Amino acid sequence: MKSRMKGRIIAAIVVALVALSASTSVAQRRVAALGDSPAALVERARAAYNQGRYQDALETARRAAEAAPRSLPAQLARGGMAEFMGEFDEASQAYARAQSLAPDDNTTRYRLALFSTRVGDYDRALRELDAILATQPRAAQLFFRFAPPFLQKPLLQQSPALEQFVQLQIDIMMEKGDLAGARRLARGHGIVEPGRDYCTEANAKKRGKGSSDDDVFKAFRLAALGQPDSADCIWWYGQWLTDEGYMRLGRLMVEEGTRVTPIPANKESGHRFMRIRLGGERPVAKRAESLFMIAKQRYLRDGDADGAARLFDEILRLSPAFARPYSYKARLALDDGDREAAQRWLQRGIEADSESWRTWHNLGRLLLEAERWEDAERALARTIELFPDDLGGRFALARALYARSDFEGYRTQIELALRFARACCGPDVAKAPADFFMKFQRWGPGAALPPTPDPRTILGWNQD
Amino acid sequence: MARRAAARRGARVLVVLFLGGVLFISLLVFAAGVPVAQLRAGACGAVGSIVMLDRVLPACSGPARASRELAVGRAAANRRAYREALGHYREAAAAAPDLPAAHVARGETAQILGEYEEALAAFQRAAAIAPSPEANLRVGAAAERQGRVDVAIQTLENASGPWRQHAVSGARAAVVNFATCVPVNWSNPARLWQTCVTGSRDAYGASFDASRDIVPRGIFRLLVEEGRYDQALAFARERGWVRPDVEYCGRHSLPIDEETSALLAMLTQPERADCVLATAVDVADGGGARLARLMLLERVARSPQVETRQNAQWVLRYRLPDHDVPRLAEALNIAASRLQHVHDAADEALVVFQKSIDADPRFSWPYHNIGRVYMARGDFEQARVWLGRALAVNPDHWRALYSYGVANANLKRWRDALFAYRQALAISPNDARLHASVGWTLIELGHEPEAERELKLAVRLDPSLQAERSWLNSRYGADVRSGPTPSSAR
Repeated sequence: MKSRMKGRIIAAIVVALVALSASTSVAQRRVAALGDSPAALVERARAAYNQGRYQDALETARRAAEAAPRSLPAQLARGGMAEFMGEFDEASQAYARAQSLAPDDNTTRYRLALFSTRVGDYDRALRELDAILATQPRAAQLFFRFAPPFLQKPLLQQSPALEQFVQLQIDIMMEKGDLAGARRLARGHGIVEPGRDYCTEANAKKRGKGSSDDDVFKAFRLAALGQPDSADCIWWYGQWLTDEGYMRLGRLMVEEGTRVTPIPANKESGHRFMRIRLGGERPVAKRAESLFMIAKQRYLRDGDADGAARLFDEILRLSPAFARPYSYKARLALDDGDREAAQRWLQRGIEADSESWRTWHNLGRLLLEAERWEDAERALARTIELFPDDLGGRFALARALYARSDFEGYRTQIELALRFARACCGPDVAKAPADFFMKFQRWGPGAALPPTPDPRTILGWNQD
Repeated sequence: MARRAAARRGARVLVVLFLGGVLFISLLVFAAGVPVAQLRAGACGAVGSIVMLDRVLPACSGPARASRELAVGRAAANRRAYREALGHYREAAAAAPDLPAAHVARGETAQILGEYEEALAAFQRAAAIAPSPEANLRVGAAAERQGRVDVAIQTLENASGPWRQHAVSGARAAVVNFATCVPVNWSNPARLWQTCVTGSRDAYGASFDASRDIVPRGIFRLLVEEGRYDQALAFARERGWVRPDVEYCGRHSLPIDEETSALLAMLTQPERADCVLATAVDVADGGGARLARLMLLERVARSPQVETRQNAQWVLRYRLPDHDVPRLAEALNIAASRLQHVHDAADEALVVFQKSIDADPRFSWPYHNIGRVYMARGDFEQARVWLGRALAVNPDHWRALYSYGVANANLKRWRDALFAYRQALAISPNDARLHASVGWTLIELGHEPEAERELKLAVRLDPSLQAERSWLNSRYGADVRSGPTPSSAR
């Protein structure tokens, strides 16, 4: 019973995953065998995807779907590639066609569940997952829903695909705001166990050197699921998510950590984080959030500046108060050598969200590069006011003050920065500014300006 | 009266003990086939360790000394001091020339150390004293390594073990099969019979056949490797391996391994023998440069598939020596690799690799392997020297190029490392680890944008590369496009 259910769910998930990740060589061999048929085009799209030629992959998948509008693999390939590239309207149409072609196909249902999550239609996503489950034999469904955790745990351990199915359900419930439901589900499937100190384990992994970033991330997630009172870990998880661009789930986690912590200073800190890093009272639409993360990768990883710029524009149309895309529009302008346009984008970002610390930080550093010392000083002073632990911002402010011959101001800022750097991260993180300051102390002001590194010091305050 | 009765009882006990002893020794000698010399050495050694028997009984002097030397030799071998062990075994063989165990121990240790001449002589002596299939097997194997193929084939033809040896092997397989099958099927008697009993019978048959055919498979390989194809085919026919209905590159039930299947495919079905390519790579990975070369050359010449011909050519050029290596050089290189990896005796391995080079100075593998020994020791300067020699001998030696890059990177000679990695990458452009190595080296040289491209490519080719993924993630955040939620994107 277990294995039959497992087999069918696995088949659905595996087919869905394989659609995006079939091995290049196999795909190439198949292409050779199939010529230019729609099936060959689908294989070619997969091969292009595997080689990182995403635009080619999308275009080939489009050709496949146009050549064979009644082909389910072609429609799914087009939907998958369009979704991957952030072309959500196109993806939505392709999936709708796929579903009309095969309303009872579990692969299509799973892909639709994923896409619905991406655009924030959580209820639809859960319905599709439930529909997959409903295709299993009654006994298997009962087992999956009600068997005790000690039976569920080995089932998930044996089947990564089934585990992925459950983890997706948990993530969706968390994003939907049903944290209690997500925790119940995690306990029910033996993903977390009562009485285990996940938070301590996560902190040990964070400090240790043997764990990968993914391991640490997963450990904090388990703490958020398995230890409802571990305010710090829930908070770290939220901050991590924020860095990656998960504005919605990041906010929920930071809110939860702030709610749970009994320490007033931490509550204050949590409120500040939401205000200056997560947009305060202006939550970001899920669709805009997903597009933002995709646009970032298209720009940074793929070097696809045009595609990314178009997506950033769409994000700003969907969520004009979302500050982070403005920083990327500024970077794109800088890439074109247009410093003025970059500055305008950052100023628009500040108009959209006047308390966005990162936008102030970026504006301050841009003005510093342009040697507009007075404007830079104003922007960086605001940066530090919003987030006093911003090491890079403080080094930059110190430089602006130095450039304006406000050496006392420079001394104050650099001393604060160095004290903080030593306490948080050791002497190496601020070696160059410390050396410069030592010389300044000994010889007084010189012709060169102080260095302004921008080190990554605290989780949750990076990226963009 | 009572004393006389006790004496009679005592005498009876002594007679019974004596007769029992005689019977036991006769059983050992005639039924179990233990040589008299070995019994004598054992007894002399055992008693000699308590009293100075050799002074009392001169005939016991040699066997007792041999027994002691064998024990000391075994202790030395356990300490991985193989050369010292060989010295003791030589002493043992000299002290008791009619003791087969001394010759066998001497031969085995000499073989480990690549002293094939000595090994062959010792095994031949042991076989002359106590002929047996095992003794012939040892002689055959040593002769093969020395390149004395006719002696090897002639001896191996008489090296198949007795029926009971194969039966034991078959019975062991049947028992394992039955023991693992019963707990799963005990509740269903029909299935128990069908699956477990029949399955165990099949396991017995397969294992019996496989055990019986081990030596013939070796002879067949030897004949093919020597290019005596007609003789090899005749031999295979005699064994019942050549059948028109069998697809040698597919599934079949003949009691032959993958390698023999591939060789038979090559000889009898050349148009459907592309499995030879993968087998040749395995053979080469096991050190069999000669046979692998022969198999690849055959595929280059006769495969109907262009892709197979090209792949075979690629392997031939970049993974194998650029010429036909003498059998002795190949055998010494294998012996040295075993010394390094199996016997954990790197110093001895260096000596034997050097002998392999002496046997064929154009053979680049032992140079590379010496480089790897030094790399394992952290002596990258020496490693670099030897890897450079490997590349001087064969500039197309892909693994040596890669290792040369690694050695240079460890010496922080970044430009040399990059040059080597790029050459290796030109040979194998889809190697994720090479792209990663190029990426890290470029970072050291301060060329980050180029490094990024290489690291991205590496991760795309092999998503399990953790350090490279972490580096990219630290710059761009995780690539969340592959899933809509934090977990699904990881």
